[in-house]
Amino acid sequence: MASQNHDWVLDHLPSGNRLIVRLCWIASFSAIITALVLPLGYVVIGYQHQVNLVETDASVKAAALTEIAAESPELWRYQIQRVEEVLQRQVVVLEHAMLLVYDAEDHLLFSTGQRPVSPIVRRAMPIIESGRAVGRIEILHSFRKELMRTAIVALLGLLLGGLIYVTLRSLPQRALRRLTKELMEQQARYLAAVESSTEGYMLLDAEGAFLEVNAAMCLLTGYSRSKLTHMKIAALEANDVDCKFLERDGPADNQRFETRWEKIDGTLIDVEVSATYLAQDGGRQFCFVRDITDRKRSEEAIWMQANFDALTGLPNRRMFHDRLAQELKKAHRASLQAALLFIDLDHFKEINDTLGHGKGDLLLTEAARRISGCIRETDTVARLGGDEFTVVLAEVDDGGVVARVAQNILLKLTAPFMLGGQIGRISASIGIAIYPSDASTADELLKKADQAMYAAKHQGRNQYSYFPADRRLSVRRLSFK
Amino acid sequence: MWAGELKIGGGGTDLGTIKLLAKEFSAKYADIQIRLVPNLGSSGGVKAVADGAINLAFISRPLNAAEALLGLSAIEYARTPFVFAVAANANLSEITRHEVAAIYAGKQASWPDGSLVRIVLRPRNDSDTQLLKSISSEIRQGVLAAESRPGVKLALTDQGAADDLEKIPGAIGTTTLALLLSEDRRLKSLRFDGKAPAVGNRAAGDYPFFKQLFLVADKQHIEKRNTVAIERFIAFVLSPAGKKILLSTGHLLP
Repeated sequence: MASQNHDWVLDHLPSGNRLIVRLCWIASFSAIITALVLPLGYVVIGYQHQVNLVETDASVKAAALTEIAAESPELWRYQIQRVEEVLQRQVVVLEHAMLLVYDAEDHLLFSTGQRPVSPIVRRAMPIIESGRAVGRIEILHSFRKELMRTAIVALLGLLLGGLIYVTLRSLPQRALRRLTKELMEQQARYLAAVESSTEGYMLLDAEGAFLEVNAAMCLLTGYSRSKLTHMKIAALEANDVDCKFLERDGPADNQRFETRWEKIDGTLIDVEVSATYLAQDGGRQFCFVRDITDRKRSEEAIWMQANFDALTGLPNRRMFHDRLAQELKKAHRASLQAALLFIDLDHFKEINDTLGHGKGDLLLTEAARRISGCIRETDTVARLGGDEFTVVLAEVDDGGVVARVAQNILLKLTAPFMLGGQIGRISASIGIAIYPSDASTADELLKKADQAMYAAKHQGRNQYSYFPADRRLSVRRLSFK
Repeated sequence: MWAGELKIGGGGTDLGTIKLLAKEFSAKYADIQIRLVPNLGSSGGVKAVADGAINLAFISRPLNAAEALLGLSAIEYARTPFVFAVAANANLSEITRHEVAAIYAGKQASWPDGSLVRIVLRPRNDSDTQLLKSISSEIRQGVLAAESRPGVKLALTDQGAADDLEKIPGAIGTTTLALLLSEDRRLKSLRFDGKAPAVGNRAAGDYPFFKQLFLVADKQHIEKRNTVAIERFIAFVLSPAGKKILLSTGHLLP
């Protein structure tokens, strides 16, 4: 696990090894820049400063010499005292400068100072008299001192660069190591939590392939970790539908859904998945999976109890009402008829009283099976309670169908019932009401069917009767019993 | 140009006297035009003569070794006392070498009446400064201190120095008796160590500091060209008429 942590950090932190290398480069670059820029900047600025000084000095002295030349155009060059005074003026501080004054023919007239050591900054300015150059002053100044200072600055730059290198290299690395350590600790905690979780954990890539799973996930699916990490999520899906893991609405999508998986042994399990989309490396699904098979079974059982008859497995009264309402709606939309058959078993109480409730229950169960065998898949059989059953015949377009079904039921139910070594015989009375001609609502239709059933009973049982009984030649009695 | 024009230039020490001499000379020799070039200084005058830019230079020091090699001819035509001068209305008439040293050194910053002392310096290589520094080591130290002190007035020419001494309150500086008298300056020379810078005293040998005055010409020019004008001017300066002017303007004849 520790090595996995380490790998994870290196793989998932671009700031890991690569960041350290980058930091080294940045530190080296900064150090070199500092070491170079400082002396270079100093020498450039220093040189420009020296040039400015020399230019200023030459400019001011040229102006003064121009004034002397203006006063004495022909003999200004012999005004030695004045010219020398101009040359000696300290306009700016220039140590060890050499000043040269030339006439228009480039003959040297005056010079002061020794020739400075190289490198030399040299600037000349003309001496103008009546718009023409009668000479020029040239100033030579050594730049060596600045270079020596630059060498000192370069040394300081190197020291500073070294300091920057050490600082930039060590401080972030220390921080990075601390961060990495914290991340690894966090990762270890996270992996420990994930690994010890009773819920399955999986990390999927954009294609739905498993990248990481925990032990609970292996337990849940029956697949080993190595096998899972070579599979895709679609391989687990039992439902033949599009894989919900690949449905993406947005980058920050979180979703929770239920689905059904097939385990390695073929067992189907219901799972609840909490998936979080991570927009990294092309998209990741970070999922926790909970086995909800038992819960689903419980829910189904509760639902079954609420909607089905425990003895016969047929829809109970509650479910019957739902189905009847749905069928009436469908019939209404399709402009078709629907028929409701209300079935009451004749003489069932005698069976119960003579053979016992156990046998009575067996008979009810068999009766339910027989009635169910008489109808289409689209029709509904329900047990309302006791010995009362109903049949909803959907989408009836032929009145003969209803009569045939009722007749068939009567026939099936008059057949003997084998009740644990004993034989029971019953018959049934069936009341029929037709939607929408007899009633426009479910309750009303049931009531009419019930009335028709009583009419059949009163007319001697083992027959079916339409509602209203006196309107049709509705009562049919089985001639064979 | 050469035949009828005499171009004369040099230092300012004896410029006023040269102007007076030139005026008298021109009156006598109307065919010779004299053109005076001011502010060349002694060195500039000598160089201008050597280059042929002027015909005659008047300078206030002997030729130095380098100038002597240029083949020039220098004639000492007079001397004049080198003096310390103040404004004519200043309440001061004499000074000692110790006071001079103290003033230049900045140790004496005010006059007895409480007004500020303001020195007028000359350039370091000027003959006035050289002569001043040669008076005593104490004065030399004082002058060096003044030269390095900021804000001390520096006059580039003799006339500029005289102008400054006249205009600046409490000013003191060096000049010559010839300049004061020939230019009729509103300045007065100070007695130095009790000795007055009068020509008569020089004759008695009392006043110790003088500047030698020379006329400088180029021997080659004299030989090769028409030297009549130069010779006539030199002859006039040394003539009784010239001497009269020199004596009346604070000069001592050799």
